[in-house]
Amino acid sequence: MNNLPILSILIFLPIIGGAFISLIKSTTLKKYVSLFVSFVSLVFSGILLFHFDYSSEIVQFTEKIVLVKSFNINYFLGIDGLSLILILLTNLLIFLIILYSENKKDLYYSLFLVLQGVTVGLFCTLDSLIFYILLETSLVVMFFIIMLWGGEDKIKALFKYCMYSLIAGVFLLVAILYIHFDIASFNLLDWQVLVPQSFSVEERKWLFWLFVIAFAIKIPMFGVHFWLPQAHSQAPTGGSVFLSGILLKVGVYGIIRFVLPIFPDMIELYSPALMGVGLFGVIYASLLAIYEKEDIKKVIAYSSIAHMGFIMITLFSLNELAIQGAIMQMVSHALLAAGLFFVVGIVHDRLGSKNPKDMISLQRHMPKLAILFMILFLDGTGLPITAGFVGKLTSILGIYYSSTIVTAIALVGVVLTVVYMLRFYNVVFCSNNESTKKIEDLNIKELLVLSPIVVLLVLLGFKSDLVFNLTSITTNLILNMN
Amino acid sequence: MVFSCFGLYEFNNAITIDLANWINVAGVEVNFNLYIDKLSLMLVILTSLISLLVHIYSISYMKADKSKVRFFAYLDLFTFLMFYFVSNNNLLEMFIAWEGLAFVSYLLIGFNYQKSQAVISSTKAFIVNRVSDVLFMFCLAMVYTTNFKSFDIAYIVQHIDYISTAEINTIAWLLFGAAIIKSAQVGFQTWIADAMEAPTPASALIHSSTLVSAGIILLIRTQPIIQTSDISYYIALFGLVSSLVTGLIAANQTDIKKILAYSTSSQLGFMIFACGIGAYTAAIFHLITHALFKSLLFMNAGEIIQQNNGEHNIYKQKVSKNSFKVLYITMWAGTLALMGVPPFNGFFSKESIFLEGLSNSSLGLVALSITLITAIYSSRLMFVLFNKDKRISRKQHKISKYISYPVVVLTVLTLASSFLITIFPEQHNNNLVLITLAAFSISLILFGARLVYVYTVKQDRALLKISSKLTRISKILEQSLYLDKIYSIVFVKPVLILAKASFMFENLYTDKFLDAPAQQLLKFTKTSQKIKQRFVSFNTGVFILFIIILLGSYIALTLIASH
Repeated sequence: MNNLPILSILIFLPIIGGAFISLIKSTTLKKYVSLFVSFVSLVFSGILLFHFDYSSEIVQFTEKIVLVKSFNINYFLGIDGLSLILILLTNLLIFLIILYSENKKDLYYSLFLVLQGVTVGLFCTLDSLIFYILLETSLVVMFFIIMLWGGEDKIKALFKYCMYSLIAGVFLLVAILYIHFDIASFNLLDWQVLVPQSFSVEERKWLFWLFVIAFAIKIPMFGVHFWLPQAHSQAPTGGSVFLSGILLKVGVYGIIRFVLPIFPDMIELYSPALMGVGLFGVIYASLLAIYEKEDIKKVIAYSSIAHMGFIMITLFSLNELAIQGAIMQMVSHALLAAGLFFVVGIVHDRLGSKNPKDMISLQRHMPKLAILFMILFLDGTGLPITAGFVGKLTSILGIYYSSTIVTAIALVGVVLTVVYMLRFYNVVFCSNNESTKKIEDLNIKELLVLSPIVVLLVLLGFKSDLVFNLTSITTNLILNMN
Repeated sequence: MVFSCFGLYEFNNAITIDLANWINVAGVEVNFNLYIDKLSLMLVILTSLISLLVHIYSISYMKADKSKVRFFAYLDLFTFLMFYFVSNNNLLEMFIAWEGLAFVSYLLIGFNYQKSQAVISSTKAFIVNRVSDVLFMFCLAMVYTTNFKSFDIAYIVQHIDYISTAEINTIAWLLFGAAIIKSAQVGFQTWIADAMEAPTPASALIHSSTLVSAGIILLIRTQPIIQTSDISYYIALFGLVSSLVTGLIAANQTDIKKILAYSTSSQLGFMIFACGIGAYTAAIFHLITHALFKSLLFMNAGEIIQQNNGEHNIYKQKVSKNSFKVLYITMWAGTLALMGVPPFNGFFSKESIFLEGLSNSSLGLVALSITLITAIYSSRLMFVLFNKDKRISRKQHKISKYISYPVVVLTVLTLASSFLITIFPEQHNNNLVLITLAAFSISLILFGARLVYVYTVKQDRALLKISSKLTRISKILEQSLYLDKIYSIVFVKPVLILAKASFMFENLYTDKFLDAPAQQLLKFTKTSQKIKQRFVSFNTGVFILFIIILLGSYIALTLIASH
């Protein structure tokens, strides 16, 4: 078992599976085979969790193959608790997306499987150049998903999405290469030691901002978020789920993996500014979510910006509670956003519209959906029995350590969250319109899609240790660098 | 319930039961605990008792409702959370229950989600409650991070000397703020009026006796912190003002449930006053008696509303006292208890507050005068309801036994709980003071009742004249100080304007700087469409993207190579 290259399996199984599925003609068969492949990946990541050593301070399951010797590019994999959580989430969400998607022709399932492999790779790799390449690949795959199955305004949405992501890519590439010129290594573990030594303060400042801007676009933080709302609203349901569930977390992962350990002094210097931006983003995006009147999917997109802003404030508070809280919120938001986009997808399947005006009183027609949504609602507003509560509570305590005034403003954001979540609920479930059509409640497939999300949220609400234990060592290592 | 009754005799010392570990991160440890002392036992008994009666009552009340299962589920969830709230001595766990209570209350207010008014009211109430949650959360953060590293109240109290007075004051203010919002005091009183959209049994359980008293319970639990701080006097003062104003508002309402709701606010203000002057036992006593008679009144109100096909206005409701003897008598019993007439329990609990109030502070006299207002609004309710023309010809259905039994039980308890006064230690032996006080307050009550009687039943000219001069004030009071309007101007409008501004900024930026270039690109592809086949041009964008990426990696590799 220990010699099995399990991370490579997790990366290449879906990619090869995706290639194989593209050869199958029948749409139904495609779905079942891809479902099987993603399920096997999920099982493998479960095995990963089972064999994970909670007390180890070094990266685990390492694999290393030299790719280009002269440039010191390595196929170097290894995970810690944080990567493991994100890998599990990726595999789970892809499985649910494939389960949810019906009658998708051509490459749909293959693309998602490829995306799965690429994203798992992103979270495993310890070689920064490979990280960059995989990041851009994920953009390309996402591009095709939106291009081929997106909504009416997809060209506009894609233009913004690609432009911003390419800028992020360029920044990241420049920074990575600059570091490589000096220390001749792409190895992240080496960087943590070598970068603070080999660069002057001025250089490190520039590098820091290159990384931060690159990841800020991915997160996205306020100021560079303009690609997100439309990309989310134009993507197919599966695409939106994956975008906000996982791809936004890549930005946070990048900050935790690159910025925090490599530039500890810079982060201390600039964290107030970054917290300010995050704070502004929380309020701004919440206001947008309150105001949005045409597309319920955009409400969730804006809420994603607000949540991510909150996560950034927490992260930059730089203490153990805060970082743990940020990770908890990350997990909670990944599941929450996925759940909410699935709900919108289900509603859209029934009513054929995302416009609030076309909503009918769904609570009467779809009580099961209403109940499941209520749990998502609890999580979104940070109320007890959900992971969102634990995340929000630890975060608030963590933020308070660093600043009182930030806590106060962040709490205003918490109130605004309730306002837009309630509006969303009222619009979708309690509207006055009546329909003549008969609306069916959730079928078994949809129940199977939503229930794991809801169950996990509640489970983590009670057993938050499941996440905290995995990440406590990572957190402490990061803090010791500071 | 029986269990908890045994408990009252079993435990004299507080005990803590660890149930499970919940959150354990970076030194923050949260466990599921149950903390049982006399206070929690009494409150558990009270809650379970009223909850039981409300359940029985609801069997008949909700008979015709299709979603009664949902209703009972909410009630049970609420009861559980209330148990959890009262049997805790840990701020964090109280907070968890606190948030949960607000959420269940939201669910119950919005129970009739087909009614748009219910949806609006529940949303409003939830948002206001959320503000109280946020204050509480801020307080938690402060308690935890300043020095204590613990949420246990007993622990905090032991180590209270370690933090500065300013910090204690801030913590106390935050707790107080959270409590008054939850208890719907003046400034936040409208949410409890909104909460009246809930089915009446829910109002009887939640918005009169249990949930709204959570604020008081919080103040009682955290009394050592508040006593150490300098804000006790302000608390007492605020409680009085609040009690006075909400009492006046109650006197100007026409909706039967709203009268009761504002009277609840008024009585809770009274308890806050008691907390402010340090009369915690009196506050608890009044909390218990109030819970009993107020849920009794609400149950009767619900019955009256049902008999009148959902009519809430007391001037339009038609009830004949002859055909509803049970209702009539029990309603009077509840009202007399509310006014504070012996031998009903309200008398004793109010007297104990007055006693403490007079001996501790000059505010006691003001408190006494509030009795007058209480008497006015409660007797107004009764006189208006039961003194109409005798032409009720419409057939009214019989009161079900599921409704009359709980009401009768509560009436008996309203009388019997007067004896609870023996449980509470009384240090006042001065009988003369006691008797004068009682006589004085009773005469105030009688005066108030007489005034109302003359005004409503006899339609006395002089009084009508006076009241016509006061229309403007009564209009303000009827509109609950125009609080909704003030909120909409101070909070809702600015938020909406800001939201609109950010929305416009967002769209402007996206359109001008991002979409305009995209349009240019589209035009370019459209011209190429004319030349090439449709399919090819469709993929041009994709190709361009690929080329960019390829170029990028090519440049990158050459750069490395050249190095």
